[in-house]
Amino acid sequence: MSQDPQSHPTPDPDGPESGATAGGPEGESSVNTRGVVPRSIIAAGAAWLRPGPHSDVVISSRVRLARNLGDHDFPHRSTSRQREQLLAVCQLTLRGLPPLSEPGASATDLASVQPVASAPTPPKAAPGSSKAARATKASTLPQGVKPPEPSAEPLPAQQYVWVNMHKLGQLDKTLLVERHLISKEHAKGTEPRGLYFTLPDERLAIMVNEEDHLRIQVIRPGLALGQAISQIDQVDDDIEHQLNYAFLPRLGYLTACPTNVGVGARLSVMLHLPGLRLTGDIEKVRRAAKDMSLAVRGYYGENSESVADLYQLSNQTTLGKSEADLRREIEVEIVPQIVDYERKARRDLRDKKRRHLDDHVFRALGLLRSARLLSPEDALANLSLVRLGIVTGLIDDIAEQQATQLMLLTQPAHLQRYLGVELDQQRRREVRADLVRQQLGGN
Amino acid sequence: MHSCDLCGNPATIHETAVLNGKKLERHLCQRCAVKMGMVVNEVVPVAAMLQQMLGPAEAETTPDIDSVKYCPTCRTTFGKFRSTGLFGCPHCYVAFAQQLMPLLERYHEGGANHIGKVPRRAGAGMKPQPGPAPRNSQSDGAGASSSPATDAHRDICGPAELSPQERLARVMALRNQLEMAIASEDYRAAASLRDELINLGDPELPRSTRRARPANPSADPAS
Repeated sequence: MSQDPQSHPTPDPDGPESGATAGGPEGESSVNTRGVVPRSIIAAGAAWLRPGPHSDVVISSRVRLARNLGDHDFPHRSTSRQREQLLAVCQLTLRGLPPLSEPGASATDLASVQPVASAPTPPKAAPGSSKAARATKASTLPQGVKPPEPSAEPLPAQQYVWVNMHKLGQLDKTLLVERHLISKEHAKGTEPRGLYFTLPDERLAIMVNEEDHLRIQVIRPGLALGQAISQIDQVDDDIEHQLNYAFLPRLGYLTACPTNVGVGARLSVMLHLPGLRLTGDIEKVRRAAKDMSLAVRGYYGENSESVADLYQLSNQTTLGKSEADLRREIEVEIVPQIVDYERKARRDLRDKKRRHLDDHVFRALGLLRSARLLSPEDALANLSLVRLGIVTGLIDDIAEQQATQLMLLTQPAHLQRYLGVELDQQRRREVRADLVRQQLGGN
Repeated sequence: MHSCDLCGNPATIHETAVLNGKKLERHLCQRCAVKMGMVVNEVVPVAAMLQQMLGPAEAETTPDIDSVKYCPTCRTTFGKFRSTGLFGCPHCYVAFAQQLMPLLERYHEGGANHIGKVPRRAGAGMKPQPGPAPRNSQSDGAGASSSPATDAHRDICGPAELSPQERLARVMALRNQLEMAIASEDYRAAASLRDELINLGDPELPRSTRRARPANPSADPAS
């Protein structure tokens, strides 16, 4: 069943009732008053900063797919009206997406995949039943979620949220950038743009009308690219079932910029490498990555400097290698080596240069526990060393999660949304210092 | 001490790439490396990098026939692409096939053929456009124009063409990955690896794991 998106102006009657977006901040006014991410979730911390495989070194794994619709101009070439139309088409499609399967629950879809001789998965063989099931599930979601008191009650069940980016306030845009749900470019644009993401885990985020029509992202804690790939693959299949992707067999998925053509996939891991920075070996990592034509970037992607000893490692080429090849290069060939290398650096520092390491770590802790004014850069740089102190066992009265989540919570928009007030830069430095002192048991 | 592969001056940039199991070495002087569009600085914005590869449009001394070429679908000129690094629409890939292929190979380090995921309805999203018609990209061929396509158009619209060696290397690698995926009970990965093997027409794939993929005209395992 093929649908020409443009010849499909009437909403799919099943769409809105499917309930997949129930409770999401659909109305722009509610977005502005309540914040695009509920405060309870900000307070609980980002899911992708939680512990995961090798998360002493690998903070998170992310996969991003660039996808475009075949018979539409790319967003930068589109008129405002065309962008609006595309937004409407994508919103309709995305809100009908089935819930993401839990990573642990992959056994349930074993049955559908294991008998490899069977015919291709029938295109939504029983739409009625699955939609009904979805609707039932969605109806149990809390409607119009009120932000509960921080950590007062369990987080709401998984739901999808649609955001009209161009109508969103600056504070929320910055918050989404800080949370890695959108790119800086997506936050800047004033033309019609959208964001679709899952709460409470924020595992899936889809930017509409960024450089490409769709930029689909799955982000997971720790080293988990394989898991992220199989989840994004599923989402991609579900979307492709309804929209016609621009694709040529020879060149793969066609993207606005030819540097993404092919698989259209960017696989990246965020690494925390304070040990290698202190031993002065960080350049070796850069060189090793470069030899494998992987890009090393700072915390916020393209052109950003490394802050808090956080580095993003990602593939540069997208044509001529499959998704599995790219994953293997990063997850199997290079990252385990870097992880070993960083752990060795930390051990060496602890065993052979203890005084040196103690000095770095406890100065940082002392600063965070005493400062009365704190810039976001100061907070990050010192939290990085405190995290190092915790994972090497030097600091035992602070939990790793506390230091890690503070890295995000001390960012400007997070700070303001967490405290529920808008503050100027000077006031932010004051309350940032107060928050950090309070959380790290300072005086 | 190596000398530059291109001009013979002392080489300052040495690059080793492993391509299909073969080790390739490149030695270039700074000037040629920049000309080749190799990333010399730590991070170069994509548009700047493309510009570096292509040379600035306005620096041409003779009127440049390429830069006034335009895509019949969205009217983006090649000059515009040069300055922004962005195409206007998916059909630009076909319209600028000739100029694009060498650029792609350089940027993707030799990669010129898509390997990896294929949407089930590959080609359904691209209607034939005026001008050189995309061949093979339409399963039904409906409306395909009969105007003669250039080699570049044929290349870009045709299926990925691996050399026999490339294909064999690919099949071997995929079989290994498939075994590993099955061993680790990652059936989702296994299914996509199997699909890719079918696409490549792996003759040794057990019959029971084959299945029809009607959406992809270039992937008939029997042929």
